[in-house]
Amino acid sequence: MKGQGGTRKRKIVVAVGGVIGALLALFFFWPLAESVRGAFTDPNGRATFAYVAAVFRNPIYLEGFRNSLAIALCATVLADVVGVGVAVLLDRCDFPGRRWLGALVPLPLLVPPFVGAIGLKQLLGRFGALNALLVRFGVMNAGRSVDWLSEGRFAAVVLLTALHLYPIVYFNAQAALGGVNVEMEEAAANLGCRGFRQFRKITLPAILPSVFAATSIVLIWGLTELGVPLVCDFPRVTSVQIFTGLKDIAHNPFVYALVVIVLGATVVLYAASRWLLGRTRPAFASKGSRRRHRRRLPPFIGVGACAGLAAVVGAAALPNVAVGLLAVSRDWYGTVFPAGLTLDHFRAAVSHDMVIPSIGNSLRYVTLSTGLDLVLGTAIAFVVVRGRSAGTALLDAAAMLPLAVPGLVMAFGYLAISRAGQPLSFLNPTRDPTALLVIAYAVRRLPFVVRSAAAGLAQISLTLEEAAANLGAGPLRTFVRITLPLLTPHLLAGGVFAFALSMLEVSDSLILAQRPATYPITKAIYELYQLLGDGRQVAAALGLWAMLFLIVAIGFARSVSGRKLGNIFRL
Amino acid sequence: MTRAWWMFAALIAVLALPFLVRTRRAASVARGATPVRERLVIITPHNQAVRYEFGRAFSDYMERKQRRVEIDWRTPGGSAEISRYIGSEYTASFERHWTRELGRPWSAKVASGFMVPLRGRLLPDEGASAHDAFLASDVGCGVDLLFGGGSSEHIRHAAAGRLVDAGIVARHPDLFGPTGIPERAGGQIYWDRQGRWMGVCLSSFGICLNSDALARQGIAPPSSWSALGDPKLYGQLALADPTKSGAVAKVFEIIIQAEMQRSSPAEGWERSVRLIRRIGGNARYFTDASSKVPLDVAMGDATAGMCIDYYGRFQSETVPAAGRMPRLSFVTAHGETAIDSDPIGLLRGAPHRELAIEFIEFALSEEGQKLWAFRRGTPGGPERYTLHRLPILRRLYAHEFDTSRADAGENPYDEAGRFEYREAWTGPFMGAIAFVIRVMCVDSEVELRRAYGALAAAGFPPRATAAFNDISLVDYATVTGPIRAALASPDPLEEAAWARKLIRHFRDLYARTTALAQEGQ
Repeated sequence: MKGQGGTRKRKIVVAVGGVIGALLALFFFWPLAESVRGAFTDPNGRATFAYVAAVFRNPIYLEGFRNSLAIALCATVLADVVGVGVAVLLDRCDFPGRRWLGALVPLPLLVPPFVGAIGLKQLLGRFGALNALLVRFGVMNAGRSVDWLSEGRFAAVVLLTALHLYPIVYFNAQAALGGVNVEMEEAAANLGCRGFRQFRKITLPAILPSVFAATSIVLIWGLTELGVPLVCDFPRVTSVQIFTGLKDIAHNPFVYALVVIVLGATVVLYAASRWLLGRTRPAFASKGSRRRHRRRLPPFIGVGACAGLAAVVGAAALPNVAVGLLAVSRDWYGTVFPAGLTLDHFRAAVSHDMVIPSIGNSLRYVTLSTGLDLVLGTAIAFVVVRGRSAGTALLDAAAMLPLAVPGLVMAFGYLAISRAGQPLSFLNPTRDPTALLVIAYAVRRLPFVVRSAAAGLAQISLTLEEAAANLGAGPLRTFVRITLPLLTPHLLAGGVFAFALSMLEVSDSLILAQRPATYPITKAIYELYQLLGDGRQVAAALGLWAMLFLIVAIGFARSVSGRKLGNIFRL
Repeated sequence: MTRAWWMFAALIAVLALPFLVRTRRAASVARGATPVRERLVIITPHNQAVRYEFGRAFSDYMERKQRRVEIDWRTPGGSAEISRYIGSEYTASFERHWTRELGRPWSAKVASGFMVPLRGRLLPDEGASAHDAFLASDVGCGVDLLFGGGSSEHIRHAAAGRLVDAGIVARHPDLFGPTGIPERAGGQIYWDRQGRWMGVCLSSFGICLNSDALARQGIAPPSSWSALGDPKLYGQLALADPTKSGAVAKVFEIIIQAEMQRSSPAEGWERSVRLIRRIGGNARYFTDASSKVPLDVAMGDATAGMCIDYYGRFQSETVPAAGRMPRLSFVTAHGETAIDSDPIGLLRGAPHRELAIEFIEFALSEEGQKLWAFRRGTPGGPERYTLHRLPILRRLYAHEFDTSRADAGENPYDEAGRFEYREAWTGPFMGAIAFVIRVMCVDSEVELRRAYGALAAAGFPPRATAAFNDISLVDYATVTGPIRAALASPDPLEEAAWARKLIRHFRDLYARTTALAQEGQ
């Protein structure tokens, strides 16, 4: 009986894996190949590896790659420490301001990178709020103000990247902490294993799979992060070299060779993190049946925890706060706070012909792409976690690759496969970009849903599914009745994350949405941002609206999920 | 559940907010108040302000002719993205024409050669035959007009065969010629004799300045290119990469030509390379987006920057004044700037050719020209944005329009006479010049800044200064000879080899300068 069930399950895994593989081949590898073909083709159309080899001989490219790796590693370590620390503090302890500070954690991820950059500049520029504060208190001479974003650029990039990405570690760690068996910790405590020792021996091993899953995402994201080094004017980083190389007026095949190298590095990093993940899989990762009670911290320690958390969460959320203030400021230059408030920038933003349609467009594109991500992500996670083989490992790595490819590269690939004369010409975005934008968003955000679903599946004990199978339930029924309900919180977390990031997707939106009537919000913000004059404030106003919308949408999802699902990000 | 209802109400309120505060006009546009019958497709790097004003005004203009027209703006990005977009669309379209209609086999040579002008070839080949077929065809890219991007971009697209004669020059002899728009002024071309493109407005170049930052540090406002090399501005200049933008490349070309006019091309080249190196040594950064320069100067993140005139003027108008002085000011580098034209061109295979020609005629008409020049809200001027562009029609500079023009004191035709652009000196190898500047200043930015800082701190000791001024690998003969040839080669590895060689050379040079300066030599 079990043998037959196993064969059926293998067949399903193979079939699902085949369909997913074909879809990835069609909508990821083909456009990517079209886009990077120039890295392997000489002017006579012959295959060559000379461009990739030339990248390794160029000292600027090599230094850029070394810097990228160093930024990724340093930012990941920092994000891991901060993310896990914040998650443990918020999940296990009760202290004044816990709820409010916890609500601020997702903020760094809810602002488009270039809008966040406006906020950062407002704070850290020569005439920014920080310098104004230091001048006011007499700590700094106005004539010798510090250019914070320019001095110590490497450290600034690492710090800002870590503060931008730590919520990813936080979400995963908190989800895993919610799944740790209470009885295990109580048993350890009864045997005298308490405090940090208990955390190190019991809790940490249980949450490590989720933390490693987040680490792989943060590491790859850090490696390809573009917004932060651009804001800090730190050009010697591979992602910035690719971005600026794509803007070369003359054709530059080395840009595509760099993309290929980043892809290779991503696969290696991902394989390494998978290997580590495999080594850390705990044998007792099943969910407990009892509800956990937070420990109320003594007043003095509670206030300290609140202050420490406020410093971390506040620092990471400062760009959002600055964007909010900029959106309502008459002028903000050389002062700690804006000089005068106004709602004119909101009126200016929404009075643009393209803005109102862009809101509807974004909601349509992103809802569809998130739906697609949930279906594909669940299927991939199922194949990867339940059907272990070389093929599934390959599929897993393939699903993570979109993280490594700059959006601009993919966007040009999508244009190439959908132009007139191509088999997919019916998707041509000049008529209607809906299909391509939905596919582009879905492909780029797929890794997050896959990781979220895979982490959830890894925590669901196989014995539950085996019990269902032994009672006669087929694979589909077992999946629908047993696996899916247990997986839903993870899918919801991954789905909300994919939804939020897709709402803020920039590169694909810039290239694929070419008519104002089809612009999504990010392209509308970008268009406003490019306006000289009050463009930054107007863009900040629309950016603030997008942030508000995402916060309320996530809050609504949390409230609807209620008791059954608990907290979106706390499982 | 009460909480869920509250959150639902909040969600609806946030979604409804934009609809509640928008203006009446935006609402009517969103509802589609006027049913549209015709559509014109324009690809452009112009920003939303230009697109809004021209879109609105052209619709009104055609409405008076009983035609309801909407402009379908295509905005894939700046000049580089537009070039790539148009290029790939023409390649796909021509491949269909070549294989299906002409029945000939598609090859790498055809693909790489059909848009390369015959002048650039050593021998006629398959690519040349494909180029002839392309010129004889009506192959299109789905777009009618290319609007903006600078004259050098339009010259390049015209040479590749992507732009075609719109018949405007032949139809309006009064408009094009000595009494109307001159074919050339100050050495710059303002319209194509074959009618494939024509300038619709003019641009000059200069320096934008933050008066607060200058005052705080007690620095006199720089008003010439050479003043930007003053070490007092160390780490405070906002500069842009000349390989990313035609406009930025033009600024550097003007700096070089200005030095060449003071001596000879070869000597002027050497002097200008040293000046550009000093300016680069003062850079806070080299950005890839030229519009970032005035924004950062206005914010005080940079004290000064090189920029195109309308960026400076537009930003200067909207930034609040600091006391009596404007916080941001724009200074034209008088006698050291060329007046370039910003054109429009009809694309090959335009799907709405007749309507496209109507748009070109509108842009050149007095009604269209007022949109560039007049302040918003003035009769005939733009409705929402003052564009601060210089119209190409001379009659718009008559005193009768002084009260309406936003920049009434500016007359580019006067300025054009002060500087003679010599295309032959730099034009043919502008790609090589931009490449050298990129490698010398942008790719070696960190080392250059360190060297210039050490040099200034040590008071420019002789041996270190001599090392800094070394131009042995980028002298005039090398740039116009082997480097230009490597860049023209179809094999990108030749360019890569030069890039590698120069990067190593400059890094060593700047490291040596730093070491010598620190030793006080």
